[in-house]
Amino acid sequence: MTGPLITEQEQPAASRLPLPILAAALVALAALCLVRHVWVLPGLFGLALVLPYLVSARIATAPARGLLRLLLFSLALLAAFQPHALAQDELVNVRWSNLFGYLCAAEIVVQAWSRRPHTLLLFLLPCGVLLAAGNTYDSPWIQRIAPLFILCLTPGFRWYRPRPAVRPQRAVLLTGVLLLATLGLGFAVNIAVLRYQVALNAWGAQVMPVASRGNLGISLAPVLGRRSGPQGSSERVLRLDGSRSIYYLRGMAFDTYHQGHWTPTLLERSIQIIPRHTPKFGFGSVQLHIAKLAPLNDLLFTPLATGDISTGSAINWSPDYGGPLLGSASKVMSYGILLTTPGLPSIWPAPTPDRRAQMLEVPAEIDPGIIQLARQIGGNASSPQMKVQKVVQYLLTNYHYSASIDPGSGDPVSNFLLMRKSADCEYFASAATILLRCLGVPTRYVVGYYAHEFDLGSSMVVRQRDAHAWVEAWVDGDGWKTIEATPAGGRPDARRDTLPSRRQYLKAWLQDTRQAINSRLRHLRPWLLAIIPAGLLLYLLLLGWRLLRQRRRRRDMAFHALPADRRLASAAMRFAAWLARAGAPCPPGIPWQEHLARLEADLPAEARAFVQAYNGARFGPAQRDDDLMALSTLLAKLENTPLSRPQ
Amino acid sequence: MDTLTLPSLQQLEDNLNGIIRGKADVVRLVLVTLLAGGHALLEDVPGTGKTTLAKALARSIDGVFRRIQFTPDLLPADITGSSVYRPLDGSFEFHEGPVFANVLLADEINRTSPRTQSALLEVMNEKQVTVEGQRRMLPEPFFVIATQNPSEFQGTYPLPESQLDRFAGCLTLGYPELADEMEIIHSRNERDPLDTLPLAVTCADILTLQAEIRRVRVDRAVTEYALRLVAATRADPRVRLPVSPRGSLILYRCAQAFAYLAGRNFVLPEDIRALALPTLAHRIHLHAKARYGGILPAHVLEEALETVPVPR
Repeated sequence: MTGPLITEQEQPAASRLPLPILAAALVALAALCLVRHVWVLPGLFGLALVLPYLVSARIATAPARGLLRLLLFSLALLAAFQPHALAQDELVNVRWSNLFGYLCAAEIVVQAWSRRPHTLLLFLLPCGVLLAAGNTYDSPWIQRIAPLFILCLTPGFRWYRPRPAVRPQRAVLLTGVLLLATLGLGFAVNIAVLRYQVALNAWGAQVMPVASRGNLGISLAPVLGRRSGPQGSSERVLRLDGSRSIYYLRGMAFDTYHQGHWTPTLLERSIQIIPRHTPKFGFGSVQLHIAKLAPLNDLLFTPLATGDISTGSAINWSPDYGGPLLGSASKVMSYGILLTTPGLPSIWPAPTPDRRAQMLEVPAEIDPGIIQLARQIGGNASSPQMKVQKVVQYLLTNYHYSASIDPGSGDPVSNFLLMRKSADCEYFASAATILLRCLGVPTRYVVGYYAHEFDLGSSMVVRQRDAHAWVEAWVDGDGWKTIEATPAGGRPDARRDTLPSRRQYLKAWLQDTRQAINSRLRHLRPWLLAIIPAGLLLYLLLLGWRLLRQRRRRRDMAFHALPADRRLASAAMRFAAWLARAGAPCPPGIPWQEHLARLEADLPAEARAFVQAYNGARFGPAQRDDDLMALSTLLAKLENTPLSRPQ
Repeated sequence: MDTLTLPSLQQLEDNLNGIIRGKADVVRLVLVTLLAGGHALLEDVPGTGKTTLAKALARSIDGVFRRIQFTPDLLPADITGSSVYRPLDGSFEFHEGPVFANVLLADEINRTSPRTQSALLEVMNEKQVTVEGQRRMLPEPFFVIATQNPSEFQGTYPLPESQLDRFAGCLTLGYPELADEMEIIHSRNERDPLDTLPLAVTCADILTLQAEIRRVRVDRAVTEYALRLVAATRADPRVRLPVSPRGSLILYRCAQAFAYLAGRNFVLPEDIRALALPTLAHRIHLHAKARYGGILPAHVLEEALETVPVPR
């Protein structure tokens, strides 16, 4: 046989993404799926990232990679500009942020299939994908996924070596310090964003002229604009316990209309603080108990006939504008409502003269035909109640509900009333407000939830699609009245789907269980709560240390270093240490017996006796406790014998 | 029971040491090869006691001893035997060849043609002879001591690698020390010590011992150590042909026999180290560049022995 033998070990192995980078990229893609509700392209990208672990083929040449890049970028371009049914709060235009995320994901795929991926890009690109997914500051998924992303990405730093490798011990120390620093920074950023998210949101709303929509279908600054279909999902947002009745749960009321916008916004209102007060009722006797099932903002949704409210903490509110009620920054998750009784009036006061005047103002941009129409509808009504009845009847009879709206040019309410004659509840409520103002009835526009769905027991459940708009009118001597001006077909209860599936029930049960646990935990003292995460962190650290130790031990036990029996391993390590102290460390390639025979130094006789006994115990058929005791005795003698270093 | 020591084995070893003076390590290796069920190749100059060793071994185990002096004109049938025509009854009678022995000395095996070499090596491997379609088993135990002169090259047919691989160990007796040589001369002054060699073990005992040795415990770490030594030869870029799995197996068996002869029922890494050179060196073949650079297979093994960590 001539020529060198080439073994398989000599051929270079196909490069693969480091596992932490792959995990981080998959987590970022998952974030994109969950926030943007897009599945196909991120799923394909994820699959393309995993496949290199199964096949060894790679794209070797630059032109081929360029071609792949072109193909994937084209797909990204096509997918990014698809119309989205849901529009959420966003920092930049959702299509551009999607495109950015898809392009980053496409480049990760190209790198994964390259022979030599660019290390720095492998760290930056998953961050780009996550940034694109985090374009909205309102999604709860980012709050959960961002720490996971950091945890996945951080261990990947050991593969990033921009400089020649330092000494192994120092590299381990540096990696550990970097890991801790990154973890700490990630947690600090996450906690800071969570704690100050209200302030950040407010700052964002000031800085960016974006019509901010409230959480989950509630608009905190309503705009009568274009609509492209029913909005809202079946995700639960509130649960009501204690009373089974239809409720209009008001969120915010607006009394100023201008060119399709209802104001004042939240920032334009003066907020007063209701100190934490002793409720007039015990928690068990509340008539209506409302639990938040989704991370809404701090609005407390209450019926109009609210006599008192209890959250267990201070409440902010703006009574002049009819609300809203705001929980404290610690996110009130549940609260109790005492409904009005003859002896307990509503918390909402009568309008002040200024507010009353505002609630009667018909904006200048309203078409004069509207005023004429209003007089035509209810001009001869004798009482405010009659006017309300006539206006509502007129709207229900002559207008119909439509989820697809084109406001046209000019004032949207005027166009709706005079030309289009089909729109959604926001338009109906706005139109009713304007018409009643024309008839001299002080009214305001209200957004909130329409609670109509009965759940098990005495519960009611409110879903995102139950977001609704209606009117509140002030009737002298009678107080505030809720006015429903939307046709029945346009009300949330008319659009109700079939009963939820078993999976949805299971998801709801899990949500409720979590809510109950959270509620119980909220009553615990902070230091008690801190024990749980601290204990968990400590446990994880101990587990990680133990796994590392076992892995090292297993690696050593796999071959050359230590026996499986811990007592023998301990004896071996002690003897090796003794030899080192005696100035005769044994090289790893020499057995002890041979090493002792080679030594010129006069080592104690116990050393040879130990080696003989150890060999018998280590390699012999069975270990006996007597053998181990003898080893231990010999070791003790050796360790207690003064050493004379060999020449 | 921690040790397995038979007085007869000690007697056997003493017999051989009494004949071959000053070569206790080689004698032990020959016994190891015998007890491991292998065959030995003695590569040595003439007159160092190869034939004497083989005779002494045969007499100590009460076995049949045969010697084949290989020459270039030797035929395979001269080794295995052949059928001879009997004119009296017109039949063929098989005459056994010299391989039908317990201890066979194949002297200067490299002086015969490759055809004859392969005939012997086939017999060594299968321990049977097939002549004219009839299979004849060789007696047991069957132990071959082959010799070759490392200094003569003219008119020789060096054993190819695949046939060298069949020998369990390649040993060298070498010249004795002055004192030992003196002892040799004095011991043969009056009579041949082979004539008074007492019987140590029987052939049946050898077979029993060969079976017994397979029960000697080899810890997994020791086995892995042996395999890593072998793997080191395969990874060495200077090696053209490294140790084969047959070599690993022979090393394993010889280690068991070595431990048994040392009075242990378990193998130590030291045993592997002691047997690595005798059992593996002749299986390693280097590239021409390494050979001309003065590298020997033993150097490769010694490097492996120094670098491969020993289990503790």
